Amino acid sequence: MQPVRRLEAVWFMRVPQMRRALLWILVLALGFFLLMPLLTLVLWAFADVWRYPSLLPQMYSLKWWNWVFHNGNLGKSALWSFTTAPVVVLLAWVICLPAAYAFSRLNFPGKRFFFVALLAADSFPRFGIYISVATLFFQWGLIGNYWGVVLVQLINVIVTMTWIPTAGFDGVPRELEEAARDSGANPLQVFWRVTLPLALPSILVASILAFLSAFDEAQGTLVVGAPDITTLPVLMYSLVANYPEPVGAVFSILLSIPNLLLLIFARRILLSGYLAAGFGVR
Amino acid sequence: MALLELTHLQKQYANLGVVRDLNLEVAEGEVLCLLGPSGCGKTTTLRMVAGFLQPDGGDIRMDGKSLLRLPPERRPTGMVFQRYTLWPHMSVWHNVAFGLGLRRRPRAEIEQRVKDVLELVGLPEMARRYPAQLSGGQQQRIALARALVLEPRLLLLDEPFANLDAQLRERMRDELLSLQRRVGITMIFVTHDQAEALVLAHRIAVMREGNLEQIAAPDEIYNRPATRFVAAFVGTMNLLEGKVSAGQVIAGPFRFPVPSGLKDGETVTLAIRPEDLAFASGGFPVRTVQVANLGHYRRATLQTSEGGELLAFTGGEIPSEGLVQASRVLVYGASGKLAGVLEPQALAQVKP
Amino acid sequence: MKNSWREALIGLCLAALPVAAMFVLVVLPAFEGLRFSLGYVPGDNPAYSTGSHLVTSSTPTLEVYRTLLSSPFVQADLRLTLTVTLFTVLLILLVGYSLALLVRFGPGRLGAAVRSLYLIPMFVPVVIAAYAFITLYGSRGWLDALLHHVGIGYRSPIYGIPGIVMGLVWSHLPFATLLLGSGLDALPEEQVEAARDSGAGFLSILWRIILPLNLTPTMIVAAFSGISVLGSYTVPALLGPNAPQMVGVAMEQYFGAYRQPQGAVALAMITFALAAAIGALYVWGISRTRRHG
Repeated sequence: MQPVRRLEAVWFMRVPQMRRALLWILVLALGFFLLMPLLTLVLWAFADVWRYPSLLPQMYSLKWWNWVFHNGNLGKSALWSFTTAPVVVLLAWVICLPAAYAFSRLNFPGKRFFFVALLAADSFPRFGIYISVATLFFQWGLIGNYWGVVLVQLINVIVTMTWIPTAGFDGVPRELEEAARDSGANPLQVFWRVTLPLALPSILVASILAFLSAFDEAQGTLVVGAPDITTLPVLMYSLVANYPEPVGAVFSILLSIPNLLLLIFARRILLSGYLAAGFGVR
Repeated sequence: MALLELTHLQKQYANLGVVRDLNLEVAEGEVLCLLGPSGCGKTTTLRMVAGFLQPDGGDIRMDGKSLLRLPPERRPTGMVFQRYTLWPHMSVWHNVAFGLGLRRRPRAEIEQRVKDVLELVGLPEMARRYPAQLSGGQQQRIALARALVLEPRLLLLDEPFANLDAQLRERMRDELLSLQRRVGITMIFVTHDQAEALVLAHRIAVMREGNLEQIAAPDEIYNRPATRFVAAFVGTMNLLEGKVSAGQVIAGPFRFPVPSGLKDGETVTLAIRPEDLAFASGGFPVRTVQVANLGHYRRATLQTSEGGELLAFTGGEIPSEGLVQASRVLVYGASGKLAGVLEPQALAQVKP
Repeated sequence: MKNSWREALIGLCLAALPVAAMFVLVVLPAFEGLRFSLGYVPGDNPAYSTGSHLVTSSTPTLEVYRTLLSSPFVQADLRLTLTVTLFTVLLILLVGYSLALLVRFGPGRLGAAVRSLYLIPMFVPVVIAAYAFITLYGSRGWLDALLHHVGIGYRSPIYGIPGIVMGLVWSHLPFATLLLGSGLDALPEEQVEAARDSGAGFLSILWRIILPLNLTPTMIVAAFSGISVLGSYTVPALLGPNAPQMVGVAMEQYFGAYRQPQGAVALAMITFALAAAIGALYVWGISRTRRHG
């Protein structure tokens, strides 16, 4: 019984109300930590005058929204962002999904090695890669070029797009495929009508993560795309540095909208364990 | 001619058990059970027939034609699996209609056949449900329907009821039995549950480590197990190690006459069914250790004078001490093969 | 046997695609960079050959590394990087576990609330997050104002180590919580109940049952976030001090402001070596737990 008594040192943990209160304080602190930065940003976006130490802006206005929307760079950057990120995802599908299927279903020499080698390459510090990539791209004429930007953003999504769908394919029981063969489906029909639909959620999760990563990528895009190609995050860097707070805030909200839509749509499948399975949990 | 013939079938590397030189035939309309412990090669055999595994040697012939060159989708077999039987992203109707759709049957025919087969398995109202909304037993019935709707020549079942609870398993077994007797479809049924095999099968093939131990009707398997392994595996059995010595088989307290073909000094195994042991006026002295009432009969655990334990099933009196007599004894030689069956007349000759 | 040959060939061809892509986009440039940092200056590469403080040699030389590592500034940068990485990973585990435990074992409403909260940082671009941190925690930011009203003095964590750590923890939380949470979900209810049955309190259940059983996801989270923090750029660049800096920022400065690409590349190699050490530790740990589990 001796070791149990030690816990009584924290006497208030034994009072249920105290325990509940402590739990709520913890949750509120976490909520503050997670959300409060974003809330301040939202306030700033609608602030006209906000002087320290007021907790709320003294005057509200939409004039900075107006300013951002009439800034010619915004439309151009948005166009670059929305033409590169989806193409990165498409390209990643073509390159990674067949490999994910092979890693899950086929036996070939060096399978384990390739699988881990992808990870090893992925852990190389990004900025070092971007510098070296830029010099290679320079030789290949891919600097300031659309495809150069797509390729540089692709670096960050290959592992995600391979690992998570591999776990997805692993999760499709062979019996279900065999039952389809037995019912008269040839291997290709089995793939399209049984394997792929069942692995689809994991592919969706990987695609969402890939899109977010490509959409948010700024460093590599800056190095490879400059000066012609500025995506939204690249533009954000220069706005943060050169304009008053509300500009960055307005811009942040605009930049978050597509992502937040994606979050609402994807919350359920993200929580359903495919990401964790991709990283070998379970 | 047999519907299906397996000749010299072999599979060396299989994670579900190897198969060594297997020969057997299945007649039209017959139910053959492959029975054995896990890893004995029964599932490997079934998967070779279905086409999911390629044998290393031998042949699989249906109606005299080899199936080996046909991929699974072109073989006239239908399979029901143990787990993950239905496609979770399709409704029951689409699960059952899948194969017919691939065969491009007219819509009206598909509708009719799916309806008929769902009625056959007793779930006509489930067509619109999804597998996750069905119980385990219902899922297995739909899986059966999905296999039956394509009218296969041969139905393959791989422990289809193993994941169900005991009561449901029994009911499904009886339903499958009556369905088979009505439709008359040929079946190969893999199981490690001997009760399932004894009830369903016309013939049982007992397998062990890739070899066929015995293939026979259930009665024969139960009453005359061809090897010591089958004797031990099927039903409850008292096994006693013994020796042939001076014209007698000596095992524990028992002394029996020697069946022909056994040499002096050879070690033997005696096998006695618990229901063949009974208290009598003469016989061997035993002490009753434990009695369990199992409803229509009782199970007595008996201790012999030499310390060995015996099981007896009886409906009669069980004294705390007394003499027991065996009415039927199977004798297995050193090779494990059945050497002889001692019936009451033979047993009566010997006194302890 | 013919079939398995065909399967191996198809498998190799399919798997080769991402491996080749990674090779061309990462390994090849990294190898080029390694050669460059060892003194081979490619003449046809203006980004490299026009840098200042170039060390040119026809045989491999460690001169660049020697200069770099003997500089007290770089030493300070590396120390800062390691400190930040250590604290960030520990905090990520601590906060990530708190969130995952709340989701798994917290009372219904609480769990649901946390579940809808913790994914948010995954969907907010890091630049924005860093910017938001400045408006909230910066000197004369919202928190400063709040504490001013209450009468508590405030020293902003921004532009110091705490700022970097907070920003990095924030942005890595969703990944960590998702993975730790999945591990907890896979944990059999019976084992926790059995421990509770034998009278163990929450803390001893956590320490003696949950943590040991959840070791694999914990190591994955520690390794992956460690590697990611090590090479991070955006958060330390916006929230960190001017000097010393995280190596990610230092690399950028060597490349941009100082026009010393060779130094930048060498720093990348050093960071990679550190990341590889974490990776090796992780692989070793995983293989150990797999053997025991």
